[in-house]
Amino acid sequence: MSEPTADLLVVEDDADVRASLERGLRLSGFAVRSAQDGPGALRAVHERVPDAVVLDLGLPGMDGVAVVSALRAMDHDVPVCVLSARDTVDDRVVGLEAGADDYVVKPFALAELVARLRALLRRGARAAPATTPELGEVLAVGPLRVDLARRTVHVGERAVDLTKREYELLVVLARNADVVLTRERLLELVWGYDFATDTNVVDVFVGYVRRKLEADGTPRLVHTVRGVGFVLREGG
Amino acid sequence: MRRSPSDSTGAVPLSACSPARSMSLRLRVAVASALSATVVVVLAGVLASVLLAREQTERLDRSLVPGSPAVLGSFASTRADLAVTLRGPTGTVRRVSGPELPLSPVGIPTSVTVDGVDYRIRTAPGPTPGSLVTVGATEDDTRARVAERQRLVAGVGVAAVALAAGLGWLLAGRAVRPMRRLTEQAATLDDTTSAVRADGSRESEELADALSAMLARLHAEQERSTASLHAARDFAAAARHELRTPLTAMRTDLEVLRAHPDLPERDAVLDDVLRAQGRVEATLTALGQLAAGDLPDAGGGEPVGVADLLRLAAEDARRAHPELAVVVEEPGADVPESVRAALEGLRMALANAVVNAVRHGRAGSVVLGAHRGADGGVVLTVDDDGAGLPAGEREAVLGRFVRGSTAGGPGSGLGLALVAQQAARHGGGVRLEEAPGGGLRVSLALGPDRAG
Repeated sequence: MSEPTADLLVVEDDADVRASLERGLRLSGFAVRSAQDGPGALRAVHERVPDAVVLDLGLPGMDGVAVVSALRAMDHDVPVCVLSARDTVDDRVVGLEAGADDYVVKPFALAELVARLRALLRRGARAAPATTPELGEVLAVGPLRVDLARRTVHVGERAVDLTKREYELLVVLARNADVVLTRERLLELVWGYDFATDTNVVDVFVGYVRRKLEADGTPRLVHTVRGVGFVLREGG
Repeated sequence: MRRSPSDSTGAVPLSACSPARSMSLRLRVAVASALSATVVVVLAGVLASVLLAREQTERLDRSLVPGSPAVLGSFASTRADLAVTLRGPTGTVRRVSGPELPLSPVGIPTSVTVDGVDYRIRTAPGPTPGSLVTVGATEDDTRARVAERQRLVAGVGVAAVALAAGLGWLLAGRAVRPMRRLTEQAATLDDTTSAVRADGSRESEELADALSAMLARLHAEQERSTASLHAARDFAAAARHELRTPLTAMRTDLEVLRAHPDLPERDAVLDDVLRAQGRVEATLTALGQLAAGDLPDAGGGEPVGVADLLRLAAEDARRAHPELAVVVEEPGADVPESVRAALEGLRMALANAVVNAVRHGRAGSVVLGAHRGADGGVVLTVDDDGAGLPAGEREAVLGRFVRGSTAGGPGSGLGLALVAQQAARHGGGVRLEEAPGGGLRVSLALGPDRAG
């Protein structure tokens, strides 16, 4: 392991899953702490902020969505990968919408989870210096204005509130305005996934960004190019 | 079957469905009225002709009354259609006007043919003693008059038949209008239609009412099946969710074993895999039992001794949980000795209550008992000395895949749901309350009609 041992927090209410995940992730080279419910997870983060969180959505009492919301509300931008036991879209939608970065559906391949966590961790470490652009650097496409220094997004006069991952997706699309980006390329640029992975997390996030940009009836800016990927441009 | 052009442009698309169409009701009514009119007209016409012919002949006969030969002679000479023959006492023909007529019985009109002409003749005594006079008149005129009137009757008859058909057509058109409206409504029926109306005739109204009732039944049935489909879907989703959890643990453990063949804690990992596998199996078993318990209890159950049932359940509990102290409380004298029930279902329900006590209450002992309920039915109880359950959760944990906040160890969330299902199957219900010993009491009430 060339990278320093990353500190993971596994939040899972089922003892069997928690035990096997702890062991599997530890043997994959992570330092693993665990919590069995939402309050426990927040306490653990409060003690020491982990490098990434693996969070079960179906926690009793305070569920995973509430945990993500609480983490983001407390200004922790630690990467969060949620585990969902349901393959209906609604479930992961709320998890990601609350600010999680990615999701895997149970039962998942441990290797896949490990690869995604490593990518999210690398991305988090690398993104830090890149997020200090020069003051006044603004990306503008049609009515859309992204102020990179202030990390603010406006459509016309309206301020748009995006989660971290949504913001990063929009910046990548805006920097490549009029360029069609494939899902794979977006996974690489936004999530740091430089490996083949079967996920529709890009589509889900594009959906959120669209919904927020088009909230007041603004014409579509992020277009789907069927069979290829997505492109940000004004007009059709 | 290709649609004919008239079908494809018709207002009622259903008309294109059947290859051979029957005669329309309207045409049928028209034809029926024409046919009945024909029968009436023919009968009336035949009767009229017969009466007419007889009446004409009688008239002719009345005209053959012989007067004096002189008068007769002068009268007959003016009429070509009359003939008079006078015979003397010796039978010699004395005087003839027209052709000679044969002799006929005195006073009886008779039809004869003379020289190819039909005559109606009548013979009467003549003016001198012993003489006979025979008067005859050709029947041509009479026949012509009869035929003329028969033609008139036939003409009126044909007109009547045509009129009947026309009226039938018109009236049937009015009569079938409600049916047409009904057909149009039926052709455009969809999920939102709740009733059809076809006022105008009793039959059509009755048909519309019957159709509306059928629609209502269909809608109700559809709603029921939609509801049960939703329930089944929810249940399937929950079951999938329940199975995914242990499968996730298993998969992770197996991947660890493959990636680290020389893992020192290999045996512990294998134990975990086996435990997760056991969970999957237990969940599948519970799902199977739930599915079986959802089947209606057709026979109403067999007679089951209450004391026997408790003894069997206690044996099951001791076998499944060797470390558990199991006590059977002798049922009181007021408790019915037997119940009509599904023995295996109740055993399974009690076993699940015991598992619940051990796994989630962490109980060291359970007491199995039977009591008389307020409604006279039998109430089976499983009391434990475990941790109990917060009062606020006692209702919820009876649901499928719901686990209490104090739940310990693995569980499918189906155990108490199975108890509730068996109680419902036996016409009763489940209540969770505090046991006399401080733990949880699971009360499985059987319906009062099950006693005895």
